[in-house]
Amino acid sequence: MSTHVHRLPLSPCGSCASHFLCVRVCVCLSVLCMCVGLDLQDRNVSLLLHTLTSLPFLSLPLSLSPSPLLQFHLNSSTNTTPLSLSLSVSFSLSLCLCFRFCPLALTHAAVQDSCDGGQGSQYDSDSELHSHAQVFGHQPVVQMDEVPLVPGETIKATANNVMYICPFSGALNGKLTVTDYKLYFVSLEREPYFLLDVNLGAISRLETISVQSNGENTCGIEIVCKDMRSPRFAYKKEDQSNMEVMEMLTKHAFPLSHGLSLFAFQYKEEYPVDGWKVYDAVAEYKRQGLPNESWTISKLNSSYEVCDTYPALLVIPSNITEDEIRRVASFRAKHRIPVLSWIHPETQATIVRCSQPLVGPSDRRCKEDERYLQTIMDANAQSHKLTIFDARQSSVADTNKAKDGGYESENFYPNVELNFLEIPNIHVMRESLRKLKEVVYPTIDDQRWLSAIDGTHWLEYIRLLLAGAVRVADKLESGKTSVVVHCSDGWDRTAQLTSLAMLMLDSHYRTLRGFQVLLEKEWISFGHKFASRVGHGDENHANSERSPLFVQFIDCVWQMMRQFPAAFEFNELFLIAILDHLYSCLFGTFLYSSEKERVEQEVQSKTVSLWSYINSQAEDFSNPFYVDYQHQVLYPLASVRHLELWVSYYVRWNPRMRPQVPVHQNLKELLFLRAELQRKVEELQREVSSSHSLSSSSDHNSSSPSHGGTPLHTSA
Amino acid sequence: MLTGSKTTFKVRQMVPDVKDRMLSHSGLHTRGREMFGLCCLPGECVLQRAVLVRKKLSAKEGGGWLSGTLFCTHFRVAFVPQDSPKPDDNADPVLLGDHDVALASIEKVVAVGPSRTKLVTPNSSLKFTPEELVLYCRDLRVICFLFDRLTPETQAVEITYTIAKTYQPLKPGTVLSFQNAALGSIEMKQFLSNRRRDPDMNWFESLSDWEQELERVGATGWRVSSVNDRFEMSTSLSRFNVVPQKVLDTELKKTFAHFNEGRIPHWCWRHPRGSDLLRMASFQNNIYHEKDDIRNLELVLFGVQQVCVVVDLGEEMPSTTDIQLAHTRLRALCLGDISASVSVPDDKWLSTLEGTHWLDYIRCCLRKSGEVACLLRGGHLTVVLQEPEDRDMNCVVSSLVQVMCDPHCRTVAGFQALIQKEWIMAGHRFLSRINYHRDSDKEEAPLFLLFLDCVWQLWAQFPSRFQLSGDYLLALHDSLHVPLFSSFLANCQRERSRRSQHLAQSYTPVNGLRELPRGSPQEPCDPPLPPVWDWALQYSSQRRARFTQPVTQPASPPPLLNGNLNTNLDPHRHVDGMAGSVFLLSRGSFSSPSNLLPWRSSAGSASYRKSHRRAPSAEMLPALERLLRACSLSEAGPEPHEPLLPLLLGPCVKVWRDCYLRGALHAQAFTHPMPSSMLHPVDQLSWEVQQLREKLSQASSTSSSSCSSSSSSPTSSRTSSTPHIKLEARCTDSNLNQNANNGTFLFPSSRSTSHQPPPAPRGNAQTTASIKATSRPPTSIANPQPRPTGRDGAKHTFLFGHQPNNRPVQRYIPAPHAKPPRSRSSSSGGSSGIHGNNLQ
Repeated sequence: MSTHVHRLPLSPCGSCASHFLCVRVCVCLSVLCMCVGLDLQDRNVSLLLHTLTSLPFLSLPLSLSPSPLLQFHLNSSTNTTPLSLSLSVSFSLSLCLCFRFCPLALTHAAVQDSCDGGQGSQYDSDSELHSHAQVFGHQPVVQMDEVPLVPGETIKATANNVMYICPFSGALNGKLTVTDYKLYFVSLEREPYFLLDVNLGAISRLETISVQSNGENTCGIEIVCKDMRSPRFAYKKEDQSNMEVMEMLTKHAFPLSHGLSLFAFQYKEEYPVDGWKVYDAVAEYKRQGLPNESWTISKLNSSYEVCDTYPALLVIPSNITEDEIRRVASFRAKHRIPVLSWIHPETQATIVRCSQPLVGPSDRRCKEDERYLQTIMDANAQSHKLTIFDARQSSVADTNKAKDGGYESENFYPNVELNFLEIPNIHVMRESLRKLKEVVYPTIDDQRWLSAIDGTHWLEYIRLLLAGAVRVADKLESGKTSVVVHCSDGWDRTAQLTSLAMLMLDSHYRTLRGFQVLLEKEWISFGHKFASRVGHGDENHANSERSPLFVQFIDCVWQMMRQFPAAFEFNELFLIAILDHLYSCLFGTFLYSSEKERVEQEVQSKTVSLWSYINSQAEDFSNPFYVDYQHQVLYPLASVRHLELWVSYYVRWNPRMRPQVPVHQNLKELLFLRAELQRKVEELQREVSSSHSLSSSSDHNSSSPSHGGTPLHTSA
Repeated sequence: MLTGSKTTFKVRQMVPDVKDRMLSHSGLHTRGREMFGLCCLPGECVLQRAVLVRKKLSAKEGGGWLSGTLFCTHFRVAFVPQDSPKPDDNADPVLLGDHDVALASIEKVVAVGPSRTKLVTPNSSLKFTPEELVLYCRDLRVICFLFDRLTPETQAVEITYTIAKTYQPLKPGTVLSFQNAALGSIEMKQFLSNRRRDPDMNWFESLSDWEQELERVGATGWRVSSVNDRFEMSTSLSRFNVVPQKVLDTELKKTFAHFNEGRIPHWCWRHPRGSDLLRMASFQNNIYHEKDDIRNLELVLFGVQQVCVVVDLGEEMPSTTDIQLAHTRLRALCLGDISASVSVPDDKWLSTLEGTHWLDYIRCCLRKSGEVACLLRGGHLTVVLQEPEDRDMNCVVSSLVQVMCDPHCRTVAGFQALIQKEWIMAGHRFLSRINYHRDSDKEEAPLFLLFLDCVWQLWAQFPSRFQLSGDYLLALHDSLHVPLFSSFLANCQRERSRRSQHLAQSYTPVNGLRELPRGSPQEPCDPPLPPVWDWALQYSSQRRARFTQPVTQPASPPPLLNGNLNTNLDPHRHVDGMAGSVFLLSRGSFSSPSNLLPWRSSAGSASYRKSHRRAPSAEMLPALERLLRACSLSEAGPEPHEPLLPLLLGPCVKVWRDCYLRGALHAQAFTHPMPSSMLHPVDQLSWEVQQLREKLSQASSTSSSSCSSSSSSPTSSRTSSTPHIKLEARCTDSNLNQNANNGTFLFPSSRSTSHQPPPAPRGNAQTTASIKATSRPPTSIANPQPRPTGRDGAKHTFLFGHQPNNRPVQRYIPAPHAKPPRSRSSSSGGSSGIHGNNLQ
């Protein structure tokens, strides 16, 4: 039997939509055993028929009659083929169907399925169908069992007889392919096809498991992923290709441990937009009104010799000498001196970030550091105080003091107020997410769901972070006081807090581009250790340096987005895409731990930026309700009862979590409609004024600008 | 009056204002009067007032504080924000303003002083000047007022006392005095007596109302029986009941005795696939079944079908005491410890929430209703809900099933009709269950609130399939706690009509309540209490405008409610007269126990046994099981009659935050005013589209030629055209609202000419409110442009439309090269787009 299918060169959900539709009709047919009258005028229907007829494996003799009434005959042979249509279309299967056509990574399709109201498969907009309908038919036909590859990707090994142990619908036999970017499993056993696509970057560890059935020589492997799922496979040991696949899997899932390079360096896709140009430090500081009389953009660290984890450009007080800086650097952990992150446009109050002072058990002092903080305070004329937020738990800070770290003493730093935000460390967060995974994958206990979530403390830590960031933001906004934020090293909790506070304070960061700048600045350039926190391409899954701090931050952003649905220009899909590519190693954006390393590895010239991909299809990632609440400070409610588990990210692999109604889509339609209406109004008014010469008042009305692309900028 | 307050700019501004008002009040207005800026109800007196008070806004309102004046009247605690638009003297009285709370819904009054917190009771004395006044309400709101330093101390103390003395923690007898305070004045009675009922909804009070319903769902083989017209057969059933056509009234009379409280199986709804939903009380077992009785019983039970499934709700659903306990716990959890103002610690919140079991019960109701909905979808079945009394869980499940399956029940009018039918007329004991009089604590159980929460869950999972909005559900939730509405102040129709008879002191004609003599100003008789559905009486038009969603159901053809849809379960067609098979659905599986129908098992019915064929039932079982299994797999497709089956997975059943967590004690508060969240973006958007439509129709009416030319080109893609319909529907809806309000608005029309751009940076709540006030209706006031013909006729929309209205069926022929919405950046394309055919 030939298994051909049209490959749709489309963005994932569009293709899903058509194929899913097709499946639905088939099911419908098998149930009803009747003729279906379809309106051939309907574009969807014709597209669907087109698709149906181009799927020979269905072995449905379709008689395409020219009359508008079309008849499908289900013959008896259908029931005997292994591809017979069954009633039980579980969602996971249809979900996987989506994966098949995803040109980039499975995650996109999955993502679009599980969030965003996109509901890729069932509900995707007709509009996309329309646009796709136009390209449909001109596309090359590919084999069903051919693995879709991204540019630069190569197949490493294939095994034909591997069993996927699906936690939801039982075991499935199929073909497993390993490329240097992903693991790709396809099973033709069921209808619709089952496809599983895991990009290798997401794999945390490979674990051998025991498989009871299927004879003595069967091995099991569990692929524990960083993104909250753990698919399991079983295979026979004697089959050489199986062993080869597993070997290649181990090798390419952890390329760095096997002397290979990360896939991002092989990825060859070209995008019309260059994401590396998104962040320009000078431009960003200029936007904030820097440099000014108190602050200067210093090139002191241009060769990364003052601090190797800081970026080349730093904003520091202008009347501090280089010598003083060096002394301050030696007094701060990892030489991470206090530098400006953000300045309030009106009050000149600043967010300054740094690492802990090396006070030590003997209460060392550093005159330069004290003067430095005094200078920061003086730069803000509105307040004669400076607030230091130490993100750590006070007990931990004391422990650190014994280990040569510590915190600023209010005795030595006049007018300084020190607050501990009591946020636990990275190990606690890692453990929390691990527990969360146990709760959400693969099965969920309905009766104990809430207490199980409580038991993970994940929301509690989200709350702590948000509450801390709210305190920082409020200090700046209403207290008009400059704020210094640090934890131990100033690259984990500090980055979380400063970036969240900035998101609350500055509406620019709530735009699609602005958020990218925020990440590039606060996380990437200021040296959040992505390489060790995520463990890109590294085999050592037990490394205690790993911790989902960035995930936690994105979760906080999602919580804010949920509380202020119109305040963000981007949507949930954007956040999920960021998290997926945090692991995928497809883009260079999140690779390595510091700007210095990135320059050494020539990341910008050798890899593609995630923002290239995002910004080339920015519409998919934007929020149709966005209202630019300029100068509005958002204070999210930081109480567990106002927080929610981010179900569409953490629980997205559960097929029972089928998406609901695409409100999102409706609203997009509404936006489109509005633009159309506006156009129509103008058109009509032009006609009217040309023929009747309208009164001046309506002319005034018609002059209102129409913003098709920018939603909600009212024209009235 | 303003002694003790420093003369600030704002105060100085107020003084002449107040004088003016007082002078102007010498004349009596029949409508609402204004006192100190408060628009009073007729006969309402301001007992106490405090100036320069700040009200804490909830997170949904944008948080922060709103300053204004606090009033306590005989009926409510009112708060009038500063710079709120001047109320229109001609406006109809509205019982509760946006910031008001009825005294009867206050549960506790707490004064917060500098160092202490005190629960203020009518008898207690206050030894400190309160800085904060917190009102805990029965509807789970917590309203917090902050007295400014500029608030005269005496005012702060006095108003706290006054509220504590008058709020009447409900006890027997106080309900009546509360009703008198609200509705007792002559002017108010006069006003109430002239209220007209919402003509769009079905009240199920007359015979024709029921017939209309039968017609709407296309139920044939059923008739409306008035055998219970004088409540002689069953005191708790409604006057009219729908029974099989085959049964004569005389035969029917014999069946009542076989059921608890005489609640015979009565018809509720017909699924478009031809299944009927019935409900009944449990059987009276100790009764002798005569042969004639058996025939009638079977006829009544099976209706027009041959297969009957009895769904027993008695044992597996939570009991009323369970529900009451869960709700009490939930309240305690959400409100916190009132006297100490402490709430459950954050890290225990979810576990404690789980411990209330409230969400479990919701899941249970939704699951059971989903099962029933799937059964009905099978077609040609009679599904009978059975509960010992047929007055509690039967109401919940039968109405949930209809919300899931019938798009009409997801409109405001349809939902209200549903509650009339399944709750109010069916005899849910509202009075005892809500326990207004605090005299039947054992009976108290918030079944209706449970139902509303279930509907909210459905709404939250399928928002676009509902026309009604979350705000509407919330408003209904709150109304339940105000003992003013006839809908909730009786246990059954009999009580309700006796009450109104009594109040009206006149004989109620047999033919329904509509003919009730209305209290004319000359006669000193009371009009009946208003129904809860008279929303214009309760809420301002701004509030009511949010009752419906701007975007309703996605494109789908109107439901084909004629019972003729094809079914995939081919039922066993029996010879007429042959007894059908009966099954019991219990705990998710089917069985056919022999004692299910007492007459079939009892010894006296040996004659019956002969004719009873068991074989088909065994064949049917797997088919029925399949139906249930298919239900769990299927997803809500685009077909309108497919049930909305909610996800019941742990993370999917959520707590109704907007309702239960309104008392934001635990939410952090900032003392600086926080910008409110403006107009909701969706509202904003729909308003914009509406405005554009107005403009468009204005333009097209001036140049009819251009319009006709554009309308002749039917270039539309399906996608772009469907929202059109919805929006148009929305337009007509809002017009209806305005008409119902006699065309009056709560703000001067002079302001309406100024079109302000809605999003104002850093605007606070006041400005938002004023923007809202100016921005919404002005178009309709300022431009009473001629409406295109054909619109006025179609009042309710095609999407939910059950009325065979005169609107021509709109079919859109998709254009081959219609432009997809995504490419809206290039708006130059003239061929795409919006077509005139729905503008006519």
